[in-house]
Amino acid sequence: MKLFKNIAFALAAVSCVQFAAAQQAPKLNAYVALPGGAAGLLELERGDGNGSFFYMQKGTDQLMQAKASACKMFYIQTPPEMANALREFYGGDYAAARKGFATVKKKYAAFAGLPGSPCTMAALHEVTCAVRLLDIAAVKSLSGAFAEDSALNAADAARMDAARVVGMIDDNPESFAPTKEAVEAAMKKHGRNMDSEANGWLRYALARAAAAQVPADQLQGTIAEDKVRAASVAVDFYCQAVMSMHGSHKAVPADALSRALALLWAMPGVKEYAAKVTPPMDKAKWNPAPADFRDAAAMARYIKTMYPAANGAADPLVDKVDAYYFNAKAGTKKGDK
Amino acid sequence: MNTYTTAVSVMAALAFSMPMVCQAQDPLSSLTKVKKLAQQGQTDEAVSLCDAVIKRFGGKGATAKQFAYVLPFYAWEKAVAYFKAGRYDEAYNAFKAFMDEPKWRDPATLAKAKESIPGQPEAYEPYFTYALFQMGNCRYKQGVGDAGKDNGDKAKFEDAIACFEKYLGLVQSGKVSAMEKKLKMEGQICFILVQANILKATPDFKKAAAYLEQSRTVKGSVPDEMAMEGLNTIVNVAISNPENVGWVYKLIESSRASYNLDPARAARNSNKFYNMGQRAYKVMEEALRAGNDTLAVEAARSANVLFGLVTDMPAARTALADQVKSFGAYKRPFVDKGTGVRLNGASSKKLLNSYKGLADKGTEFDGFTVLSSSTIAKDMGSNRLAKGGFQVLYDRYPKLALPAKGDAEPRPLRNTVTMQLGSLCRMTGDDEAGLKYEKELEGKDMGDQTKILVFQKLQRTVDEKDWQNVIPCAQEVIDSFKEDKTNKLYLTGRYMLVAAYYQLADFENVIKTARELIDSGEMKAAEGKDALKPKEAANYDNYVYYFLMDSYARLAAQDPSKRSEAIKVFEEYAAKYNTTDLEMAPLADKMYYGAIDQHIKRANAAADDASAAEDQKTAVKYCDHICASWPTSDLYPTAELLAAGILLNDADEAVKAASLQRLQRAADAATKLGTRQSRATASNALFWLATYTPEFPAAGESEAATQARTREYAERYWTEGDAEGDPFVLPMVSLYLSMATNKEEFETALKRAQDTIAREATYMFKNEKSDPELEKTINTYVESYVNGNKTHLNKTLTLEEKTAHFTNFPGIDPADKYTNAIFRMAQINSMNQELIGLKDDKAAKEKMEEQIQEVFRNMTNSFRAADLTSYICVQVADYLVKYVSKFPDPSARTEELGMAEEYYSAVIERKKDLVADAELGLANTLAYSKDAAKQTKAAELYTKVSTNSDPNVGGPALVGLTKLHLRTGNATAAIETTNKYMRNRQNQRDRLDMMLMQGEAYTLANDSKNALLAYMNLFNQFKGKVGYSARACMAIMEIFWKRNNPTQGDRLQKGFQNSDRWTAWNTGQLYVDLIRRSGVEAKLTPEERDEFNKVVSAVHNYGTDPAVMKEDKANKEFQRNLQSSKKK
Repeated sequence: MKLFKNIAFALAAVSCVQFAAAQQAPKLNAYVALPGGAAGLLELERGDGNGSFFYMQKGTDQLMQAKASACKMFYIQTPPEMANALREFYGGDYAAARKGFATVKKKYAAFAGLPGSPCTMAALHEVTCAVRLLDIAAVKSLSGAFAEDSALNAADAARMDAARVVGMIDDNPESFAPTKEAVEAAMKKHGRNMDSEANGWLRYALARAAAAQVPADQLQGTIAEDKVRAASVAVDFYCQAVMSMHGSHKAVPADALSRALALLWAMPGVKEYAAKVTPPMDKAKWNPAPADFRDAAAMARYIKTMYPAANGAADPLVDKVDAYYFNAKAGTKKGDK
Repeated sequence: MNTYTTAVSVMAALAFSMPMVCQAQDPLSSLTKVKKLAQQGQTDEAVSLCDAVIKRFGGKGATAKQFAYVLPFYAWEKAVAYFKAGRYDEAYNAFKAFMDEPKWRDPATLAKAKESIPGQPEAYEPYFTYALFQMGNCRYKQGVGDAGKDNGDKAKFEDAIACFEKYLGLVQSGKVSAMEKKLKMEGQICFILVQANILKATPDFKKAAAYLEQSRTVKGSVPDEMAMEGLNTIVNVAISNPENVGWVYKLIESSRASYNLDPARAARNSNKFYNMGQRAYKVMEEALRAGNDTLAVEAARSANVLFGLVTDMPAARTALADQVKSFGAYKRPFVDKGTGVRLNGASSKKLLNSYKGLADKGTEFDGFTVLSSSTIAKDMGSNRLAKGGFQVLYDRYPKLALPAKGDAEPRPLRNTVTMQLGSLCRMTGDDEAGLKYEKELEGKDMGDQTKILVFQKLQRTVDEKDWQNVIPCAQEVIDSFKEDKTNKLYLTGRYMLVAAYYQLADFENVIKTARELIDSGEMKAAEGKDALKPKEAANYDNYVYYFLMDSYARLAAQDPSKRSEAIKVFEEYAAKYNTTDLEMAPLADKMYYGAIDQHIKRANAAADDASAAEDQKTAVKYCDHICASWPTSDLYPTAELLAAGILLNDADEAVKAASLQRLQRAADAATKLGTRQSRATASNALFWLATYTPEFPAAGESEAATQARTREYAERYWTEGDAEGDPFVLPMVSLYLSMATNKEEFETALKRAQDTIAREATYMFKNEKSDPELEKTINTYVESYVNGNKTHLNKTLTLEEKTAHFTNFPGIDPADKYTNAIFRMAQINSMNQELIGLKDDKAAKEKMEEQIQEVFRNMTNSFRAADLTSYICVQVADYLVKYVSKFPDPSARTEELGMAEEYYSAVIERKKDLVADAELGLANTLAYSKDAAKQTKAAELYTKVSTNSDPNVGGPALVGLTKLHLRTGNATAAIETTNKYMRNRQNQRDRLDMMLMQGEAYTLANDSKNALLAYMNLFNQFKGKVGYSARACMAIMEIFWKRNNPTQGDRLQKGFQNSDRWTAWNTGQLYVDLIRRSGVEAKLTPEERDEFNKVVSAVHNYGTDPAVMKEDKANKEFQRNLQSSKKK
């Protein structure tokens, strides 16, 4: 208690005006077990940006300060705005959630840096919303502006770095090398702390950079031989992104699949084979088809199955290519190869 | 049922608080006894007591009135006692009776109860509505049945749902007691409704989903654990009837916020989500196999959604660690008022430790999820997505391992992941990466996986048709499974070894490996999942026999003795598979077909007629077997056709005639099959029918009817058999042209011929093919066109008209030099035919020859050697040489000679057809040159070609060489060449030319004696060949004239010889008389007549020589005297 008394004395010098302003600011409730004390509900006035918080000493108007890490228990109750935003976030309404998080971030800015601070968590979730909405410009500005990595746990810090890589997406044909470098740096820095979704983001960013090397007009026709490699690499990264996210949310995987499908459909020999065969497909038409053709048809079916119209309107290419899908497993038995 | 125990216990507490009041006075104390009896299971006693109290105090007396407010409690406890005893029908009725009893609702009684019970201001009033809940509860219990027993009456759920829904309506509209409101039961009632709707006879997933969502949002929302339990119930029920699997994703997607939780909360359920996802995946897998794409889609989506709920374990560990750090020291659970989430430090700590333990063992749910997602993608046919998943696993989950049971070690998946990744890389065309991952696995002990890996390597090589590498891979499989020889992978390895050698056309090794496999007796079915099924074994075995037989057949092309081996293999096969069931002998029809082929080929090469006939007989027998056993097989039409082909060559005309019926069946069946291959069979059969029908008219059939039937086959050919590149199409054009008997038929045939020739020529042009049949057909067409115009259209075509038609043939690409040259050549051939017909009309012949030469010259201008077939090249060049030879100094015609040289050289360079002819022609061309080097080259070529066994080139080569020697004055060589020719008895076609040149050679060598002998040899033997005999006669006359020996001896003495000049004249005179008297003179060709006239002229000249005349007079006078002396 010695420490707190000293701090209280030090705070006596705080001007009345400032004190009044602090009182008007939004407060947070937290379960706190101050050193030497029992756990109880405490109203937090604000943080100091370095892991300490201020509170009014019970029964007095004395403003006290304590370090969160020194407390045996420190849990900030989720404020209603944050609870609402989280509900929208987990419900998949990222646009509404993003607004809610932006509000929370601003409203509780005074608590930045505290463990579990709604402000910090809202900033992180706001970036996640932007990624899931594929608002790359917002991802870039939000992740760039976030300067509280130290207040994040290892997984969240890795996620923020992954978002920064997503913010690099500019569909520039020269972007592959710098994106790859940034991805490798992030992987090296965070290792297995990079969660599956963030890992998917990194691979998505790489795919976009690789795909940027394929001129857009070639997607309408056939990809030139010298671009086939880049297209194939892009398809592979898109697929890695989708698999890494394993259905956890929709927009990014659906977009990745849609882009991968467009690339596969423009691979040499694919449209030509489609022109030769008429759906419905059967074994005789399916087996001799080029591998990229079969993968395109299977991917179209995958999109239709897993992410129908995930990003708004259905992609017409999906329906077109799905018509060529053939269930090659039909009639097989378990264990058949 | 702990799902609603909270509500029940609270209400029970409400009820059990009453006795505390009642015990103060009798009959109040009896309520305690009722409760006790009910707890002890003495239900009937408890109920009796309740009834007794109600009866005793239910009257109208003062005592009754005093205790009336207590009686509702007895009525309630009676229902509770039944409920506790599990006597739900009685309990249901008791609760209902309570609810319906007007006495209990008497305001005065209720008011007294409220007044008499301190702290319970509502007294028994809550029971009026709560009874409804309990009625639902009774029905629910009946629906569920006993715990662990499937003895529930699902029909009861409908009533349960009705009660609960009615009660929920009361709660939500505020028409319940304050006590009930305080309990905040909405969430729990919704949750019971979820389960009731799922568990009833016909589950209503839609309502269940709606109530589950409500249960998470209404007052008193259920905790995560309970929601997950509800979700688990739905998934279990939905998946137990796979048709409902789609409700899983519909439910979750419609209320994602309820299940899509933060990592720390999701961590508590990841295992469940993963397992449920796996169950959905199994449904999808079965649906795909069953071809039920709709169900597969529903199940796949449900699996994907469930997998999406599995949290990332490191993220969960971090979040849990944060929680432990934040409130781990706090022993009691608490609730985050913002989110309503119940937090428990001890629980978080426990889960964190559990997660750490799982991670140490390589159990990572998110890794398994990626693995399962990849498998789903692979099953749906997307190798790319599957590869993406395995790449993620490879990069991020190096320690991923399958949990083991008991104390066993977890099974690491690293090598399996690497193996799959490598395999998928190859499947998607990235061989480099595939190889990298395969190499990574080399030398690693993967236990059972090693064998699988080895087999997958074989599979890959087979998929890639990399037959060269299939061999070592198959051998590796064989070695890996050698201890398990009934294993289907072992037998597949053995089969693939044979198949690979077959694909590589290494027939010696096919024979070796196939024979070893057959003799080993290992290719057979066995019991067990790893063994081949009978049909699978038969399939492999059939193919092995087929490969073996066909390998012998292929080798027979070089070594005919192998054909008999092929037949032996078939006989061995036929003895082993003595069945017509293609399920058990899947290649039986093809084996029979192969045997037929071998017997026919052996018959064709047979040394004697008897064995040939025997083979043909067997072939027909096998054809009959196919026709009788597999009338629907695609080989049936071919079998009929082959049999007909053999029988058409039978000596017995009746057999031949009967074979047409087989052709008819072949054509009909082939047309019915309607495949591209069967169309070829129909083509063959119909062509033969059109060809042979006129030869074998049906009994009693008129000629016109036969003709009509023949034409019908031809017409059928065009609709049922005609196909681009078909080998019978061009012969059919010729046949069809020949069938035309009137103007209409001629024009139809002409149009068909034009279209077909154009199509076939274009086909060959585009495919860079050539076919001598095209040349033949065009020749026929040209002839038919010219003659048909004359016969059917009464029109004689001028040269210009013909040229215009043939040089602008409809449908022929002007760039197609090959076909255009054939047409030009055909035109020349046609003109040559006309030339022959001109006979003695020398002027007309000369004109025609000029025209032919003109066409030739045009050809040399229009076509380079590369445009022409070898045949036409040689023809054109021969014509140029012949043309040049007519000039006094052929060597001066350098342009024509140069062109000829180019055409011949082109053919020689092609090293294919007519090379010797071209070399001979080139030698003839070079021989005209005055350039010594060219002459030497010509001599070398002549010498080379002269060794050719074909007299058509070997002979002319010696002739050419002799001519060259004569032209260059090399008499010795010329004599030697002619002598060499004379010694070779086989090359006699040019004998007369050579005899003449032999005379010339001796003359050149000033050896008049041998020259005279040579000429006399020819003259005496071949006087009738005036072209040669006249020239020999002239040479003899000239030699004698030139030698000019005087008469020797006395006419009256022996040894008298006339003078050479008289002999010269006399030889000619006798020859001329002979030719004239024999009538040969009338048949002489213009060329022969020219030569003959030379002799006539010389005879006249020599005969007017005074010395000759004087000697002849003396000779005649001597003869007259001699004859008159004999008469005397």
